[in-house]
Amino acid sequence: MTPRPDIRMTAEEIDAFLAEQTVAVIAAVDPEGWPVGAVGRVQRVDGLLDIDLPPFDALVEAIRDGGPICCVFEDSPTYHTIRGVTIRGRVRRRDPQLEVEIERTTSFDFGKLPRSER
Amino acid sequence: MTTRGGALAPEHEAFLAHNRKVFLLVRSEDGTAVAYPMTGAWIDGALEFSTYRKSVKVRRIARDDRVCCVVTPWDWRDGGRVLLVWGHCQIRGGSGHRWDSSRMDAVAPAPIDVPPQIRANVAARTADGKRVTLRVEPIAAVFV
Repeated sequence: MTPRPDIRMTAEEIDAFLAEQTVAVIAAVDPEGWPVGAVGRVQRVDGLLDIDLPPFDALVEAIRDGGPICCVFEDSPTYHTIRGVTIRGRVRRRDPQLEVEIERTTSFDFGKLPRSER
Repeated sequence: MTTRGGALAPEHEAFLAHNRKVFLLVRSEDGTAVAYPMTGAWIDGALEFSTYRKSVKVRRIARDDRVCCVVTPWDWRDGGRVLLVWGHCQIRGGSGHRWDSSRMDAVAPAPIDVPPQIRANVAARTADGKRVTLRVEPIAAVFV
């Protein structure tokens, strides 16, 4: 069996990518168990995420103090330059701005796909 | 309440027919949300995606089929409205199953050029059962 190619970014590549990103899809789970999300302004600052939540009640109510949250940054100017970073964490503070402590970061970069898969 | 969306309306369908960038929100093993950037297509009353059968997202959907699709313009970071669509996600596939990307492009061309080799690989891996089609029939939708 052919091993799956490793297309993850390095820590340095993730840092460089996130430095250019200000918008992400923000996701959480509502009280009935359905995923819910929206697009909002998100920035990584000093190892935390600062989030301006869009005024969408279902998402606002799904995000609880200490609760989990997921943010996805993605850029796809061409097929071979599609890159994305997913950050999962927990809400540390809601006021004056939503602040999230990062627990896990995953990433992909289609530019790292082997030539045989291009 | 399914996140307070309403029944699918004609303006929702028109948006779905013209926008193929989708963030697929599913629930992970611990019940928290995870989002996957995808390219989808609005086909016969449902959003469809192609992915590997053994992918983590398929395992998660098999465990809990409740999903939310955040459908956006390709330049989603520039603002503008997005459409949220909720539904139960079906996993379809198996030997002989087909994925016809030209059919998807006939609905709405993807704004990036997917290399022919990639399209051929997706079709072949679908036919041999390694890739599956995810299909979400909307039960609620709302613009945000």
